[in-house]
Amino acid sequence: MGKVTLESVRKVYPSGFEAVSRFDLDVADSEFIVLVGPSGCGKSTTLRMIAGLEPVTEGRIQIAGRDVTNVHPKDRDVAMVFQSYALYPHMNARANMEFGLKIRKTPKDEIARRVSEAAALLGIVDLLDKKPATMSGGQRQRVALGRAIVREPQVFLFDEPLSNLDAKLRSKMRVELKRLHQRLRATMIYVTHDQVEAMTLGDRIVIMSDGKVEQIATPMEAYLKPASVFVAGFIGRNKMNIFPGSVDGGSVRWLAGEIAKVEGPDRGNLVIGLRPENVRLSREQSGSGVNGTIDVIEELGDELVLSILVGTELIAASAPASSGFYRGEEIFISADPAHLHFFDSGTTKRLEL
Amino acid sequence: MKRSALRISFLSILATIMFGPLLWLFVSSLKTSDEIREKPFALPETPRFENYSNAFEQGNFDRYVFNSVLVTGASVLGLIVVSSLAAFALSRLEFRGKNFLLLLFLVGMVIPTQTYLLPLFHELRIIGLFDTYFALILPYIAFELPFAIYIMHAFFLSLPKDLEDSARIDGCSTLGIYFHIMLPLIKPAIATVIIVTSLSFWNEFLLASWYINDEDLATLPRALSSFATRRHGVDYSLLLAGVSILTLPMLVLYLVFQRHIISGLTAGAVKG
Repeated sequence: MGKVTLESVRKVYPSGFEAVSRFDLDVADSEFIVLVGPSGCGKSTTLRMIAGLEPVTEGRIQIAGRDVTNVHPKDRDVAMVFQSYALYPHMNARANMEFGLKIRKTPKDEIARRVSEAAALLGIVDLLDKKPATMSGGQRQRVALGRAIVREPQVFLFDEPLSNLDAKLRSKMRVELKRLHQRLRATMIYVTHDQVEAMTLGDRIVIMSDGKVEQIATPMEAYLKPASVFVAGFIGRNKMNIFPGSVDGGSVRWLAGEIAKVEGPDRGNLVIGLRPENVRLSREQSGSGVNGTIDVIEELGDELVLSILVGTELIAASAPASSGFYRGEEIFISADPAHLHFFDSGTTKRLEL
Repeated sequence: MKRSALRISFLSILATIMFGPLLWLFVSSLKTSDEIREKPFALPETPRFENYSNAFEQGNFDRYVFNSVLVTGASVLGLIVVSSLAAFALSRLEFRGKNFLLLLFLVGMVIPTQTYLLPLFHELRIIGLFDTYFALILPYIAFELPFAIYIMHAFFLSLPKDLEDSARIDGCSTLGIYFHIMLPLIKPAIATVIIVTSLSFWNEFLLASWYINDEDLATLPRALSSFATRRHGVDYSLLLAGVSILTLPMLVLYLVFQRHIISGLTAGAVKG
């Protein structure tokens, strides 16, 4: 079925703006790939190039082994779900789902079969005779999904499909999308700016910034071994603490002092990152550690998020709710060297010590 | 309380000004010519509905009504086809000189009819369309094209781009998008154009009197004017029945279509 290959795909707008630069990606059959990054990073442009809605400046795109770089969207055998849903307002849900099949001259009984199957799968049988204007956001989203499913395409493309839903519905639809993928075993390429969606949905995620690919990895890889400072800061529920530091003589110096000891050669100045959930907190100093004061405590129920003032910098750290820390308390921060992330201060790429 | 009374009386005065003449027209059209002259504001002694049948039988009105319907209908149809295609291209397609072309169309709105009355007269003679239905239909379409394009262009622009992209992926060609998606969605704009332009086509007199000589091709307004200027006395009851025949269809058309103008058809196309 739907393998997708992008070979050095590049997009330059007539204004000279390079939206995507040299994008290489191999999407395996029935893989769920998420393109994630801040707005303007080129993720949507990449998706639209795969769909054929945006011409490719350089490079090649293949779908299911066929070069589709210059093929019209209708002949690429892809279906797309839009952020705005893009349901045809003058048609009811059934007509919306049938439309693509009718245009393709699919036999009538086949259309009826696919629509009723998809409607049952998505739980929208009751909505089939309704027009989009009378539906809620979540219902429209389902119909939009149904419209894509009945096409039985090689590849599903999603352009931020959950962004317009409220937080509760969003996490519900996230689970449903994941279930849908497990049932259909179809190739899906999904664009989002939300790293939680990326982590939970993707078999692999492509993290992009400024038109460039920062890292292509499984969610866990991206979390455990971010390839660059950008990825380190972008992936993770709590934003990673990233500050300049140095590694000299086995001593990792970060912020105001030695935070850990490592073995290995001297590295001089570099950028060091530590996730809040990996910050080791203690009330008394033992071995390495820097001293700070708890400035703000955010209680999230199961955990506390502490903002600790170390010198002039604020460090985020999470702690169990039962830890009993209080505002103004003096505290020592240290780290397990295995949890420290090192990056070159020039290229911002990951360094392994 | 006081303000609403003031409002009601103000609106009543306006309504009287608007509806008075119409009412007078319909009432008078049921009177004899003598009644109209002598007691212009009285009710008819006995309503003479035969004024209308006389208009058709003696006044040849069946012919004029047919001509008017044909010319107006063909002009509106042609206008909708041409202007919606043009507006679609000007709003949704990318090509060089697009903005200049749009500007050129809109400039047409500010040119008064009188300026091309004579040149067009000669043009029609040269190409042999003078004294045919086309001598009215083609200019009518051309005259209202700027207005129609202006309305539809704005409406097309308001439709979300995602709809077009979605239809493209669903398998539509550009023309398919126009027919299946865009045309049904600009119905309110089309209704607006139909009402406004059919009113102006139906009532149009200047061109109809210049470019049509043949009495058999005359439209209602032209026929009525020759009625009103007959040397051997004007038959007022026939004339007013004719004017009523001219007025009624447009009133009905307006009442039927007016609610379509404001209907929010795009609601629900995109979020919220």
